[in-house]
This record gives sequence, C-alpha cells and structure tokens, in this order.
Amino acid sequence: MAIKGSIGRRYARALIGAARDAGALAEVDRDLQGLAALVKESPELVGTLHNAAFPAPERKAALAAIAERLGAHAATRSFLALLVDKDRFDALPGVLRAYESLSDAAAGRVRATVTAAQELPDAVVEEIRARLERKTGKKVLIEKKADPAMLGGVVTQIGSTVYDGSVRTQIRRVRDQLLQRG
Amino acid sequence: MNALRRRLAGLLLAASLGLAASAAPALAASEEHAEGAHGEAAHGAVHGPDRKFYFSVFNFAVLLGVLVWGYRKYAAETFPNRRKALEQAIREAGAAKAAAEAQYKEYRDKVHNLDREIEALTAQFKRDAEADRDRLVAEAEAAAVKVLENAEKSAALEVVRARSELRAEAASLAVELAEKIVTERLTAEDRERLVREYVAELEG
Repeated sequence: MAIKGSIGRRYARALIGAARDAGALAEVDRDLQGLAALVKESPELVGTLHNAAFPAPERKAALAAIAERLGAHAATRSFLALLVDKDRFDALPGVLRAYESLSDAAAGRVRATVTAAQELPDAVVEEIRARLERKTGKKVLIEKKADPAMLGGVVTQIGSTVYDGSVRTQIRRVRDQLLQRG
Repeated sequence: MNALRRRLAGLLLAASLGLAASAAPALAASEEHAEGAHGEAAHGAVHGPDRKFYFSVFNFAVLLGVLVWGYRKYAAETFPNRRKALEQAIREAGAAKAAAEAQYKEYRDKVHNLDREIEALTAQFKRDAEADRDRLVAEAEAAAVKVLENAEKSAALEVVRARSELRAEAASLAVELAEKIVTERLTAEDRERLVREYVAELEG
C-alpha cells in the first residue's frame, strides 16, 4: 500500500509538471476530478482497464472513449495511455488522491468533512467554511455528510484534525469519566 | 563301583555254595562207588581212591582259593573306603552338630535379647511416627495457609473485577439511557442551538 502510494505520488507529480508545461493545469485538474467521480461511481472500472486479459490497444481505445466523453485535455489522455502502457492503471486511485493533495497544497487549499446528525443548511456550512478558512489561512473545500447516530451537534475533520461537537461524543465522555472515577 | 563289587562277591559266594553242593553228591557217589568197589573187592580185586573224586576235591579247593583271594582283594579295597566314608560322615555330623549348637546358642541369645530389641524398635517406630506426624501437620498447615492466601487474593481480584464490570455496565446503561432521553427530548431548536454553539466555538 505504501509502495502504491509512493507510485501514485510520483505519477501525480509528473502529471502536474506536464500540465504546467502545457499551461493546462486547470483543465487537467478538472479532468481528474471527473475521473475521480467516475471511479467512485464504478470502482470496477480500474480493475477492468488494468486486466491484462484484454489487449492493451482495446483498453486504450476504451480509455480514449471515456476521455472523449469527459472532454479531457490532451495531457490527461496521454497520461492515461501511459498508465496502460506501463501496466500501472491499478495505481490510478492513488494517483488521483496524490494529485488532489498536491494540487490542494499548490493552490493553498484544504479539504474538510463536516458531519451532522441532520443535513446542515448551506448558510451554516458557509459559516463553518469561513471560520475554518480564517483558522487555517487556506481555502477550504467542504464535503457534507449526515450521521443520525451523532444525535446532535457537528463533527469537522481537516486532515488528521477533528473538531468534535457531537452529542454522542459528549455522552461517551461522561461514560469514560464515570468509569475512571471508580 | 562298590555296589558292583558287592554284587560280584555275592555271585562268587553263591557260586562257591553251588559248587559245594555239587561236590556233596560227588562225595556220596564216590562213597557208593567205594562201597561198590568194596563189593567188587569182596568179589574180586580191591582198587585205589577214585580219581574223579580227587579231581572234584582239587577243583573245589582251587575254586575256594580263587574265591578267598578275590574276596580278600575286594575286602582290602572296600573296607578302608567304607571306613573313610564313615569317618567323614562322623566328622560332618560333628560339624553339623557344632553348627546347630552355635545356631541354637545364637537363637537363645536372641530370644534373651528379644524383649530389649522389641522395646528399642517400638521406641524407634514411635519416634519415626511422631516425626512423620509433625512433618505432615507442618506441611498441611503451610498448604492451608497458602490456600487461604490464594483464596483471599482470588476473592479480592473477583471483587475488583465484579466492581469494574458493574461500573462498566452501569456506565453503559447510563449512556444508553442518556442517548434515549436525548433522542426523545432533543428538539429542532436544541439541534440548531447546538450547531450555533459549535460554529461559535470553532474559531475559538
């Protein structure tokens, strides 16, 4: 897993360099977001395009069709063809994650996950974003989630940092204190 | 070997007796013959002793001599051996008697000392039994102390574990109950207030 992650970072750095050289960083960024969404929807896609049972030209043709539908930039198409040629298409999810991380770092962005018992109103989410941006000094991209088991409150995670204000966590803290007191 | 010699001697004796018996009719015959000769002499000429008679006598004398000679040879070999055997038997019997007397003396002494030995053995057995009893009692007491200590430790651990389990169970029940109460009583306004408070504290 660590090796795959390393491979993903190396390919991601190469892609960012190629995109920058082509002056198409924004386009490639958009293409990879589209690819990430596609892989998330159809996880078997990566396995199929990595399967050596299918000849490489056929897999490349399928990839070209997908890129065409996404309206991908030439740099993106070349990169996907390279993954097939190098028999590294299974590293695509790692490449996407590394690209996202590197791209965010380059653009001064962080990603946050905001979870509440019920879906939060947009105004509240925007308020949380604004406060997080002031707190981190970076642009914050928020992903919303709902978890009724939290009972109430909000939990925000940025990287490895968690701001936990859920009712469930508060109750569990009380339980821990009860156990420690004995 | 001695038995064979005895048998031979018996045979020789029987043979000599048989010959003697056979010589007697010969003598009678010779007498008859002599009477006949007298008769004949009375009738005519008188003849000398009968040669057959003398031959039988001589024959008998030779046989007797052989028998005597044989028997003397047998007796010369047999009697000293028998004497030696008897002397040996007497010596052995004497030795056996001496040994028996010595053993008898030993047993007599033992019997005389038996009471004392029995008394000493009884005392030794008593001492050994008391030592064993003391050792067993000490071991049993040590084992009992150890069992008691272990039981106390186990009981203490059980109490601690039971308390811990009870506390955990109580805490879990409290959490379950609290979650149930919160779920039932938390209103939309409460939820909004919680979110507002969270947002307000987020920057702090």
